[in-house]
Amino acid sequence: MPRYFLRRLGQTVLTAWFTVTIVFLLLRLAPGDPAANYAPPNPTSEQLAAVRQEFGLDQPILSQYLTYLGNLLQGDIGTSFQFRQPALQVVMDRLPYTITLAVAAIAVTAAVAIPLGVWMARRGNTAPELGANIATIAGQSMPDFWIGFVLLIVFAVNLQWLPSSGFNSMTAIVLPCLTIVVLQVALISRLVRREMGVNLAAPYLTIARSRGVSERRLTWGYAFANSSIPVVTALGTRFAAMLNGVVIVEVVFKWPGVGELVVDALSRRDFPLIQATVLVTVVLALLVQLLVDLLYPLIDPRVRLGQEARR
Amino acid sequence: MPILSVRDLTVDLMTAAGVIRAVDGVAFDIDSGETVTIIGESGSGKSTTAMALLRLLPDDLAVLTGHAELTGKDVIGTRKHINGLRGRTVALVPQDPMTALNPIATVGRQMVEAIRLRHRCGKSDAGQRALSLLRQVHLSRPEQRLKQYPHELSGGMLQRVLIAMALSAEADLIVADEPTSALDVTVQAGILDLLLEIQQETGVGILLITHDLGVARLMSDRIHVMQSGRFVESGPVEDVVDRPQHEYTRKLLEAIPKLGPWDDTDVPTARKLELMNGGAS
Repeated sequence: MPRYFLRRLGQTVLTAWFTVTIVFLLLRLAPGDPAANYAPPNPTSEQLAAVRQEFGLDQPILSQYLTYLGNLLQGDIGTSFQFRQPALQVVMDRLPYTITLAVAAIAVTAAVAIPLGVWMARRGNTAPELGANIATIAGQSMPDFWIGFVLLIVFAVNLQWLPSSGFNSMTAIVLPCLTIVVLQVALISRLVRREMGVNLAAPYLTIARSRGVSERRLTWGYAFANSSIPVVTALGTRFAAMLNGVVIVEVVFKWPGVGELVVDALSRRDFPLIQATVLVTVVLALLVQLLVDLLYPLIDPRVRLGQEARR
Repeated sequence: MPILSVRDLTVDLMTAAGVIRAVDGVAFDIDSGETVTIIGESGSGKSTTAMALLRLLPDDLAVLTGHAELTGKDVIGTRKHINGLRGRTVALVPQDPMTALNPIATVGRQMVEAIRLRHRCGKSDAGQRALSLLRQVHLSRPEQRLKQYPHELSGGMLQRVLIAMALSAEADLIVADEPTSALDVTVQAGILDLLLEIQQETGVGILLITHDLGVARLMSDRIHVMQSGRFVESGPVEDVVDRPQHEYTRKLLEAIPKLGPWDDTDVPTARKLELMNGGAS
């Protein structure tokens, strides 16, 4: 078991290093000069050079990279060009908003998609199931920015039931959350239905039925419990992806999360802030993945942690 | 009154190729303490008959007609009674024990669930009962087995667990659907002996489904030979085995492999040499 965690830790460090390296290089190889965004209006070439020197951008890329890694190892993630404060602090200020949105979205997704998928599996080949099937395909096909605008127009502009943007009250979360949930429910409910379809037809279910086990228990205690590994995996993956910032939804609703921050940082070429955002979200995503992996043996006793290494 | 009385049972299965009459007007009775066997080849309708009587065929795929009463209660005309009969009046011993238990729950948890469906009792009482049932079916190290998961047990052990679960129902009728087909030959005899022992102790009636005439001869009081959904020959076991009337029954009897002498000229020389060298591969 300690070996398993050591290996996972090593993987996490390696993945994080690989990701920040790629992001570091891409930012600097892309055309454009950040200095122009931070120099006074109509800057002279001396003023631009001074900004570049301040940010360390006058150094060769390799030396910039080594400095960056050296600072990283000491826990210094860099200073944001635009905020003039530690980039990590800026990201951490925004992270709670993204986490709130992601947790709300994944909770609503699970609460709707699981019962819906189970219901579809049990009502296979009936008219209501066909309706649900078409609805989930539609949900999968609609782009999230479009759903976001439709919800905005209907609920914020026309009906004026909910705020259109920002984070001023608890109701502000409803529309961004709903926008994310439509697609996720469509995806997860179809996955649940597929897995349940297999397990509802399994021999052990029929045999349990012959013992007088109730249909409710057969559905949840037997078939769903056996379907839950792929479902938990999918929910974990979706959740990790949401932590990286639900970029479009955050921009549409001016949600003050990491996604909106990174779009802003990109447009201003705030390299340290972009790098810090990527590093934080990568580490978070890897942690969620580890948590999901730790759940597997609890769900299915046939899964043992670290078994793939021994094979 | 017989425990099970079946009259003119017909099962139509809806398949992609159209409607197939899997069971075509069969009739039989089972009294307590009696073993009645339906024997036939794959696809003859013998398992479908058993599954239809337990109402384990999906309603949208199987249409049942005819009459069947389990301890006087109609199970074909209505679904109303069967839920109260499953796990109480009738229990199933399945064909493949390896896929018959929930893979993610321990043997003990599944036995306790089965016991508590039948008897109002606490979990620890049910646990004690599970232990004594596993002893009754002669399973080695029963305390340990209760804590294990199905994938940690062999097919023969699992079939003993499933028989113990059937026993826990204290049923009047056990439906044994090919109970030894998926097991090693060396394990089969033990399972059949166990079923006979349980029948002697409890007087339970057994509906045995098999394709193996050897199994049928050992276990049965009466045999129904099934072909293409119909009983082609029925009678006491001695009559059917010793004086088969129907061509199909004779074919089934001829199909039982017999051990010939070692110097049988039918055996190819290469194989004979291999056997002489002890390589019984």
